[in-house]
Amino acid sequence: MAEITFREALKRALREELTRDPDVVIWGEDIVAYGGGGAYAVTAGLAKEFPGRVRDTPIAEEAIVGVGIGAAMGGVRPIVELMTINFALVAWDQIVNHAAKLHHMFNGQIKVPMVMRSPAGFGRTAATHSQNFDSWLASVPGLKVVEPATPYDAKGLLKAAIRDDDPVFFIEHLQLYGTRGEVPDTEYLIPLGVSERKREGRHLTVVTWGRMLVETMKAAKVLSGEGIELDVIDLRTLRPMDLSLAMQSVKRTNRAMVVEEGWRSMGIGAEVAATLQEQVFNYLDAPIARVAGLEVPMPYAKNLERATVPFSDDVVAAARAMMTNQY
Amino acid sequence: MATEITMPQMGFDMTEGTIANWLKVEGDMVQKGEPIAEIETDKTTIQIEAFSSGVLMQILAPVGAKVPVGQAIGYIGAPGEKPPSTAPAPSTSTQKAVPTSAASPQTSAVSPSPASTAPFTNVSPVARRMAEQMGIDLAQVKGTGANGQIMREDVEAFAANLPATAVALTSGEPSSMTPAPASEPVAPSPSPASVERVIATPAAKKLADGQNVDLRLVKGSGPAGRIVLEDVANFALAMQKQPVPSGVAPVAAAPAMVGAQQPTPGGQRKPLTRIRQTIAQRMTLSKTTIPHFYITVSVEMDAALALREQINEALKPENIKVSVNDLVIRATAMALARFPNLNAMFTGDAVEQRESIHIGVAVALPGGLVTVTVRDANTKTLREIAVEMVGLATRAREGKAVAGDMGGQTFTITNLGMYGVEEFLAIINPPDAGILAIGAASPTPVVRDGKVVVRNMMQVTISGDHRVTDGAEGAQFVNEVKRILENPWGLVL
Repeated sequence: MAEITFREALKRALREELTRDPDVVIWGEDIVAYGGGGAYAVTAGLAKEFPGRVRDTPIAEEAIVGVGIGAAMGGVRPIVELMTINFALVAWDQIVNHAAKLHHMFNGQIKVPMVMRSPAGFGRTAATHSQNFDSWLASVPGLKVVEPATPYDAKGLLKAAIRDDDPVFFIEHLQLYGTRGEVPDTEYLIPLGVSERKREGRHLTVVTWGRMLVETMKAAKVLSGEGIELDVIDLRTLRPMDLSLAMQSVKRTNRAMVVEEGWRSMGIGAEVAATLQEQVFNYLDAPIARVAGLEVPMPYAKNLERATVPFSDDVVAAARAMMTNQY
Repeated sequence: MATEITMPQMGFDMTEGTIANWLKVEGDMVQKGEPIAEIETDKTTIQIEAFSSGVLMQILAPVGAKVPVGQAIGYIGAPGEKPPSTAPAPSTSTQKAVPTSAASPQTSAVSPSPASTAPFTNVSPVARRMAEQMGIDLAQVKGTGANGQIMREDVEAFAANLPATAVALTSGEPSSMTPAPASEPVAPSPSPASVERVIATPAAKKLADGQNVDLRLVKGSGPAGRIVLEDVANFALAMQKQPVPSGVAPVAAAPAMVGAQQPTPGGQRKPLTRIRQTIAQRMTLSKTTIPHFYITVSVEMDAALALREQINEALKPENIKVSVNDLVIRATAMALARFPNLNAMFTGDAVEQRESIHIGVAVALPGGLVTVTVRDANTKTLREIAVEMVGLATRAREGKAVAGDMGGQTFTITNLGMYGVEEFLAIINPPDAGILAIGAASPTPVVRDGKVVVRNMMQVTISGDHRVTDGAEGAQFVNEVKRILENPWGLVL
């Protein structure tokens, strides 16, 4: 099996689906003209391979998503790319009030089989371009929200998202594009709404996803050297959220921590913690811990940016505190 | 036309059910087939479904009420319809539905006491729990919260005005040990102000429940002294190493008598060891809540002693020795098989006969005693009992008891014969219904066929739980033990 980048895994997913289904198209800003493949080069080269089906759009996110919805209603399977998730704010009405609702408001007569792809997170892009709207999106009924952490998952989940008949918001963390991992050459799909245990351990259940999965796995290595074994659950899909593995895990470890990059208040971590305490209350031996981003507009300075979002050392510190009964 | 909702019969032996929960409130629309209430039977909790669609007009049986099978628990009717005038008013139904005898307090952990249940839905959860713990009748508490809701402060204020003896802390004690009705003085009880919340994690509480560990005795290592899983596990382990009588719940030390904290001048104050704490608590509990009665019979042991000698002669090559106590264990187990009512426990509103016969045997230790358990003693031979007892007693004395060595007994034997004691009275080992106190088999002049002769007589005294059994049955039982011991071949055949 070849090791490829996260970016390449996404591109392969797109290519395979464009090849498989002539109804699949990709629209987005600068995905053809600008350096040939979008700001993060995920679609590089695809316009040439699939003439007419990979197109540049005007800089108008509301229109990009709106056109995608209309096309999807008419039978096309559009993948629309938003250059960063921060621009999704401009298209919020289309995403929340149209894409997510049409199927339900018209008695199921309409389907919106559209994928909205968008990079999220940070990378020296300052306050207005360094955000995560995971919990905003995941709280909307009618949407599916996916955020992979590994190249393998990225490919399998993106292909499943394209084939899904509901609108799917597919979040790609900026810091992951360059990460590498094994991806088989043979075709595979990963079902949406299914979490995965990425590491087996008996002391502490860590629920996470996206970039924080990578940081958590680094932390797990360090902690393992100290005799603390993390049981790491990767959510992979934020809506619908699968906490079955996490619950099973807590029944064994009796301790749970949620690690997320976004703001702590009203975050995914809050949701996970609430559900776990509802479902497995009697198994908890400590409050459910949350490791999350600081609630400030992201600073531009590198050192401050580093201090704002969690990294593996934050996970290590929190796990140590939990395992020594200091939390 | 209003439709009755009746208490369903789930299983042929169900005669009544307890309302565990109403899933609807009066005035709710219900659909036929929709779950409307949860019913608790001896065996399970089940949901009952609406027999027809309409409005839940009236709830006759409140949560906690025990209702006979077939009796109406509520009505479903058309919107706006009035409940049938024949419907008993909720209050009478409540009275009917719950045991009214003050002498039979509700003690099952799952069915709250009648006092604190029933119509008082407007009670905060904390207030309800406190009231239950303190045995306070919520009907008498005035609520000061929103819409007259009874709040924690209301219960506290009410409790503060009660005579101390009327308030009993019942949480954490076996159900059979629930103190008598509040009108009678009960075990020394902490004042309401001392009702303290134990801070423990849910997982720790669950483990403590399973291991019968009293969290009040556990020291918490978490933040602010919070008890975590590990603390309970360590405590349970320590208890195993330093066993407690009958291996059952180490319960909180009995509240010290007034002034007992002051050491007498020149005296020495020895803090209670854990084993003494447990003995103190359990024995206080037993002696203050179980009405004991005592019956003694004299057993002629000559035949049994002769048989024992023969048996031991035969077992000599195997280095096994059957003791007099082993004979008593077997005889007691055999007798219990014929008196199942004494192989039982009092559960507050029932006497629960136990399936198996497990004989607890008190073993003296320096500084205390423990009870080891010979399981299924009625199915074991004397040889098996002898071998097992040596192992059990040795492990107990060396503090190396293993799981299963203690606890779970259904009846207990205590023997002071080796100290030359002729006769004594024992305290029942909860939750048993009785205990046998065995004296020494000693040569005694007795009259046989009009002549004074010397026989080895052994005094056997039962302490019986008068809630479970009476003197006549107790007498028949000890006479059965006597009969078996005096015709000892029955022990080996």
